[in-house]
Amino acid sequence: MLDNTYDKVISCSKCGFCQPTCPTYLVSGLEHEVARGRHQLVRAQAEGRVAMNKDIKDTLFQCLMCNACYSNCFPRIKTDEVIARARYDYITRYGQPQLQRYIFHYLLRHPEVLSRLLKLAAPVKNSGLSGLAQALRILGWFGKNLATAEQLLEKIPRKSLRELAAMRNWQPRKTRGKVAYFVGCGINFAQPEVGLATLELLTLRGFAVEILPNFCCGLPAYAYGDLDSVRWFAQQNSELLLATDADYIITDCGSCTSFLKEYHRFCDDPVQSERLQPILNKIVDLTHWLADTMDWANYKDDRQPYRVTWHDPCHLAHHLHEKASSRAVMRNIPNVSYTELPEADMCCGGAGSYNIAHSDISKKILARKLTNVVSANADILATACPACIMQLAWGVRQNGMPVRVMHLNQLVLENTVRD
Amino acid sequence: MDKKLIKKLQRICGRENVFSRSLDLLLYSYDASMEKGSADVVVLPQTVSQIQELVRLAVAERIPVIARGSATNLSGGTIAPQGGMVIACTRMNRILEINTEDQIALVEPGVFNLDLQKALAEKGYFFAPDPASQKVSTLAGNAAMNAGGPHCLKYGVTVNHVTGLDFIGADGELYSIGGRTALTPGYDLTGIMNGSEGTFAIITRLVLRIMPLPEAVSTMLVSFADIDSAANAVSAIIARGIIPATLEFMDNLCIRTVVQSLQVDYPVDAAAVLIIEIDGPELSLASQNQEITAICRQHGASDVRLAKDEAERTALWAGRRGALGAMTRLKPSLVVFDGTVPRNRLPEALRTIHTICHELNIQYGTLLHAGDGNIHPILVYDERDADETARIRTGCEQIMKTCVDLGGTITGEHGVGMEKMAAMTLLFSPRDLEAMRKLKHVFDPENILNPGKIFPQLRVDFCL
Ligand SMILES: Cc1cc2nc3c(=O)[nH]c(=O)nc-3n(C[C@H](O)[C@H](O)[C@H](O)COP(=O)(O)OP(=O)(O)OC[C@H]3O[C@@H](n4cnc5c(N)ncnc54)[C@H](O)[C@@H]3O)c2cc1C
Ligand code: SF4
Ligand code: SF4
Repeated sequence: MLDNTYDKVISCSKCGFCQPTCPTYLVSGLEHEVARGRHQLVRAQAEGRVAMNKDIKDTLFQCLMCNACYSNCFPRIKTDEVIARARYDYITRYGQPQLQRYIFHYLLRHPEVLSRLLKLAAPVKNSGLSGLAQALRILGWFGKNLATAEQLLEKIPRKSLRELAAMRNWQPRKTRGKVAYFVGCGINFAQPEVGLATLELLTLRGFAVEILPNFCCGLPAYAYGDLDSVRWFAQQNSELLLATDADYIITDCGSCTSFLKEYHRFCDDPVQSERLQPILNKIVDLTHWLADTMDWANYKDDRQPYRVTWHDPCHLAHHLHEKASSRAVMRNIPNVSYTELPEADMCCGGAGSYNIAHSDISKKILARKLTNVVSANADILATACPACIMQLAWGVRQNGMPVRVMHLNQLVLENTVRD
Repeated sequence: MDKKLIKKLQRICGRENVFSRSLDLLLYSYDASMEKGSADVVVLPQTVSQIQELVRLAVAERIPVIARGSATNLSGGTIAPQGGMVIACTRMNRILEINTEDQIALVEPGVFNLDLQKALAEKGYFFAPDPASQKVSTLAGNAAMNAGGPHCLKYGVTVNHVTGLDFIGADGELYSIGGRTALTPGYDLTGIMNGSEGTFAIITRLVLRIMPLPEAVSTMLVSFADIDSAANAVSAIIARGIIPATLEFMDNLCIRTVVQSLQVDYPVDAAAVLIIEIDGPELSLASQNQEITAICRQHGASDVRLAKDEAERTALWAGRRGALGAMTRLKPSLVVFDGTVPRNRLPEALRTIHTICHELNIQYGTLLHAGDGNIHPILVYDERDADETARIRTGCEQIMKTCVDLGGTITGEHGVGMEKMAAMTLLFSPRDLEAMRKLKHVFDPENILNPGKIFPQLRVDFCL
């Protein structure tokens, strides 16, 4: 192994403390499905104690990379880093599936093509869409359970966020500062309404917005171990981040936020890496920004408060360790009565998406989440990541639950006086 | 493993619950100890009758059976040195009943200790055994190891809190012993099952004694400038007739490591700290606190800090519970000993351990369940370094011998497993061991259940 992955797995003391927080372990009870087992496997492989064969695939690829294991882990091993590297080795050896190669090496590097493809797909009901459907599932924009072209057609917005946003001028009446908005792919192509809400909130609270012409943040490629593509995305986007003069760089996708902040890891040039550091500190998740600018909010207070509960996206809770902001924001809204969701920071099973043999693991994790949602007895389930929204909304729909799933910013906007 | 046998196992438990690829076996070849050894097959049953059929098959085929919970034990208890079948109880993790009138809880074997605590706390109750691994260790694992924890000083170890058990014996039959009351006639089979380390039976259900949460709790952190003073203060507190709920000791290396790891507010320059907790009626606490403070001051305490609120208390405990794990930050592997000595020999024991580790050039830190005289020297090393590993093994032997020489034992709570088998001869005469073997023979005449544990090896086969 080239990097320090081996040092990381070697520091696993086999204490087993990761078991009670690991979602895949909790639904399976299997040593294969917990950080300890994953680290021991990667280690044994590095030491040549286990034959390199396809048996290891499930253990490597069923990890959600949620890093819930991190909180109990004394040597503080970031499992996502170990797993990404191990997946890289795996695809290097067994080859990257065609479709993934097409997505990470072509489609996402040419978003205009992707955009055109989606447009074609929307009105035309023909076959040949299943490949696209699968591609979008891999990207996690439509939840991993969205299998058929039919379902897909219902969901693809006619216009992407970039197109919709270009139709308006995002200038506040009085300016407090300037933010650069990093457009996540899930929001751009699948949930433009979330992005519009962000843009409106930014302007309402007095910020001029520069919409960055960015590429995908690279996290989907990372999740599939395509570290070469990750470097490409990080390189392209870093240029943009370095160029902007905005006070903050904001995203409304917790996964993008946390991944952007790790760009220095994928930068081979030490000079560039050093230049990047201060910029990465300017990247702020919208949730955090909403809490920071709470005093400038003008909230409605015009109804019997609805009961709201919150699902922590893994990238906020376990990667950025950001749990307080969202709760502070919700508690501050007069129309909201906040209830804590049991196991709020446990993954919903969306996790981008993974192509795996036992995909039912994801369903079991979702079922556990939904059971908790029922017990919280809320009208609204808020969160801050498009993949979580997809997964949760799908679960809620399938089970006919009377809960509205929405992004935190939609909740905030809905309750903001727009004078 | 034989294909036909695998088929049979699959028929009992379902295909998806039987694992026998080399990858599977690798993943079940370790626990939190230094030991390693591969089973031939791993099964994850979901019902008692599945366990029963598995054991019957194992007996018929004469395959070793190793019961397993979370595999956090520190003595090699879940290793399969002679191959065989691992029965992992991790999918049997329901709390079946909490009955506050009878003050019992009924649980499946694979419930995490802390999950039970959380469910009990909602009802104003608790389960006294609180190993530092309580977040993750299972209740069957706690019983099988007779686990202890900080609060066991006042309340006793696991065996004192299990009133009944269901288990599958080595004859493949289901037994139900003890019951919902602490007092049952005849031999105390429940008692004997605690600490049997999976060598007597497979536990399938536990009846646990639960207790109302104390009215009030007060926790203090006392710092000392040298280790002897801290150890002497411990003896003095107990000698005064005060039994705190906990009386824990951490040395300087543990303090510094845990501060780095968890950002807890411990005094990094203290040679040792004691974490002393008392509980009981609100009214009684203030005077006890005064008395303990006075004793500590008399013995040279440099600082006495009382946790002001629940948050501070939780933080103090996070530090103590995290100390062992935090030591892995120093080096990737660790071995922790849990010998006990009479309390008044503590200073001597600590000095000798220091000399041993110093001479062998071993980095170590010490935790104590000081109130019980239970010593936890934590020796850190890198298992890739053969020389260091060998020194560690020597150190371990010498430490155990020290404990025995001072009138103590080789393990207070972590079990004998494989790691301390050889040291059993330090403590027990051949005749004592023979008596234990006979007992084992009664429960498991074919030596099917967790073989290669507890008894010094070589002799076990020719004896039975
Ligand atoms: C960081 C750390 C801190 C620890 N702190 C403490 C502590 O403070 N006090 C303490 O006492 N221990 C401590 N331990 C050791 C360990 O957690 C305990 O021994 C615990 O009781 C083991 O539980 P488990 O579920 O992991 O059992 P396992 O390790 O899976 O098994 C332990 C033993 O129980 C047997 N067993 C498991 N299930 C069954 C069953 N259903 N029927 C029959 N036998 C069974 C196994 O065969 C084995 O011999 C610590 C360990 C770690 C890693
Ligand atoms: S990253 Fe998530 S799924 Fe993977 S081992 Fe850690 S807790 Fe489990
Ligand atoms: S908590 Fe960390 S050190 Fe412990 S077993 Fe899990 S990954 Fe290894």
